[in-house]
Parts: sequence; structure tokens; C-alpha cells
Amino acid sequence: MWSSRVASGGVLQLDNPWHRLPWVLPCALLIWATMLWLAGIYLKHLQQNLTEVKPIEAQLIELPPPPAPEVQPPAPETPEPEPIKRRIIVKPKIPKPVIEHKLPPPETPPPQPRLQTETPPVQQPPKSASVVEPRSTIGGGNVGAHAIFQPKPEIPDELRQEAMKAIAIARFHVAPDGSATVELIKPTNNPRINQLLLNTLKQWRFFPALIDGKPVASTQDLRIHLEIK
Amino acid sequence: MMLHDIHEALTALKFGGIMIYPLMALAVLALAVVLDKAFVYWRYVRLPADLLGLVETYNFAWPDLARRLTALGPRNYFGRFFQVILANRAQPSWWVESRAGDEAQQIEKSLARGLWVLETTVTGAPLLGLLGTIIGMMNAFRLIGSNGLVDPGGVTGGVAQALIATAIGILIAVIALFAFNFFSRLQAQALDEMERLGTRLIDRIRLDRQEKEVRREVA
Repeated sequence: MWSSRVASGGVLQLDNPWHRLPWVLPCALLIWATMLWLAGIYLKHLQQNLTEVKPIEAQLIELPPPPAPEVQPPAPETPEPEPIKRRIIVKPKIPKPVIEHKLPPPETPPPQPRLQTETPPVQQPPKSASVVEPRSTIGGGNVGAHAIFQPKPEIPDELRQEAMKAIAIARFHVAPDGSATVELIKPTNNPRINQLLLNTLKQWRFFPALIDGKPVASTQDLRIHLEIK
Repeated sequence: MMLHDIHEALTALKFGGIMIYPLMALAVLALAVVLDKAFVYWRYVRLPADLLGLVETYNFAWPDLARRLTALGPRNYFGRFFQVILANRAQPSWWVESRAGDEAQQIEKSLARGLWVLETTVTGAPLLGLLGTIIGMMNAFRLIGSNGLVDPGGVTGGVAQALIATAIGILIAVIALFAFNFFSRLQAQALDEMERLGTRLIDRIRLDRQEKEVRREVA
């Protein structure tokens, strides 16, 4: 009669999970390790995909302000750099500066007495989006200052969006020896980009303006436009 | 190679913060329960098809059934359940039913053992992961206050790393959820089967007794 009681009490004893613990626990650890391993492989795969993203390349493109309608005779003004071909310099990561200066044809007006070139840089024709054109501070029969070393700023990822629409105007004071000081007369909206720009522009080196073959101090305004690729 | 990958995963996990450790423990615990349950159902809660057919058709001799049940082994749940009915078949039927009910209750308790771990894991793991993520985010945002400089990369990076805790928590919870539902279903199925077959056996006992009485009256 009481045998059934004993039997029913025995089920729990017979099936005691704690007895199986010595092999269940290592198995569980093993399975978990395998899952972690798979997750690690997945992460690695993910990282590889991430590194395949192309590095951001930025380059500076100077937008010329409109040629200053100064006291010059009307003749030279007509051959204005009208046929502005969009010259976008696509460049690999060569450390060399990419930006080319295209000097306007040396139609030379009579020599100007001074190398001032303080033109209001704004009201720029919109078409010249990415044309590289120097804002010439050309003395007559002479050469204006032009940059010979133009390193590009390195734009960090998080500033990419901002930098794309950033346009700044920098004023270079080029000394006769080619050294230049720079200030941003119209900065971009983002202070960090300004900082980056200034740091980079400080490294620019110029070929000084020449008047009658002699280097003189000059001032040059450049419109800086960042292109992000 | 494999060890390296695991190491890599572990270093990635460290970004989840301290909450990763309880999560790992929970994961191993849940997996252990899953393995144990799987083993029990695979090994001890199985009824061979021929035995099932035998009970279903009412067409068996009691000694034959007893022999087959002992062949199932002492730990088989079906075996133990039927043994209880067999051992008490000389008793009145209400007694047999009562004992079979007792046994079924014990079996249910035994089958449900450890399932609470899975059930707790289902809700607990995501919460632990979330907690880890929040702690990680708090650390990430602390970058702002440190020296007045904001490093956006640092903040977003920290947040991204902190999210791994939630990911792990949800992964564990999903595994536990599926396992819990699966084993709950297996348990319900096994108990239903036992109840059905137990009723058949008891019916058979009653039938035998009635036939005996009829024979005695005829004699």
C-alpha cells in the first residue's frame, strides 16, 4: 500500500538535475564560448567593412571674387574669365598640393602704382562654383602673388557635413620674401572648421608679387571652398 | 585562432561595462538549464511507439505491460507513472486514480524544475543589458564635463560601445524565451499524454473487475 508513496517520492530523487551539473555546466560554457566566437567573427567582419569605407579627401578650391572694376582701362576688363570651365581637381592622396592656379592671360594694363587689391569679395557670380582662379593682384606687366605650396586641411568625419557647405574668404598678406600671414575676413559658421582652415592656410607659401621684376609685398583675398570627396 | 576571436569578442564585451558579467553568468545558467531540460526530455520523457499502441488498444496482458515498462528503465517518467498504476491495480479504482494523480503532480513539478530560471532570464537579461548601456552612456557623456572640450567622436563612440550590453541582453533573452516556450509546450504535451494513457489503464482495470464479477455471477 505504501509502496506507491515511496515510488512517487522517488521521482524527484531519480531525476536530480544537480547530478547532471558536472557535464551540463561545462557544455553550457562551451556553447556560450562558441557563440562569443561567432560574435567575434561577426565583429571582425563588421570592422573590415568599416575600414573599406573610403577616406575622406578634402581639397581647397579658391573661388575668385569678381574681378574688381577698378580704375583700369576698359579694354582689359572685357576678356574676363568668362569661359569658366569647372575644373574639379580629382586627386589621389598625393601629398602635393592639388590646387592649380590659373592665371588669367597676361593682358597687361598699364602698371599700377600700388598692389592693393581690396575688393569686396562677395557678390560672386554663382556659376564659378569650383573654379580655381587667382584673384590677381597683378601689377601691370608684372606678376601677382600666387601660392606655390597649398596643403589641404584634414577634415575629421564629424565635420564632414558642415565642411561641405562652408565657404570662407581668407586674406593673405604676402611679404616680398614669400612668407604670408593670413586672416579670415569672412569665416565659416563653424569655429572648428575655421580653426582647421587657419592652421592649414598658415602653412601656405607664396611666390611674391613682382613689379618690374622685383618682389613686393601684396595682399591677396582668396575664397576658400572645401570640397569633400 | 578561435581563442583569438573569443578574446576579441571579450574585449568588445568589456565596453558593455560591469553589467556584462551578470549577463554572462545569466547566459551560462540559462544555457545549462536548456541543456539539462533537453537531456531530460530526450532521455527520460519518451514513450516507445509500440508501448503507446499497446496501451491505446486496451489489448495487453498485465504481466506483458509490466515487463515492457521495466525495460524502459527506472528513470523514465512514463514508466514510473504506469508503474504506480500497475502496482496499485489491486486497490479500488478511486485509490488508483488518486495515486496516479499524486504521481502526475510530482512529475509535473519535476519537469517544471528550473524553468523559472528561463522565465526570469527572459525579462531580466534585457533589463540588465539596458542598465549596462545606460551606465556606459553616462560614462560617455561624462567626456563633456571633463575639460570643457566636447569630443563628439568620443561620445558617439562610447554610446555605440555601450549598446553592446543591450544587444547581449536581448540575445540571451530571445534564446531563453524560445527555450522556455518550447519546454513548456513539451511539458504540457507529456502531462496530457500521461493523463490520457493513465485513464485508459484505469478503465482497463475497471473492465477487468466487471468481467470478473459477471463471471462470478454467471457461475
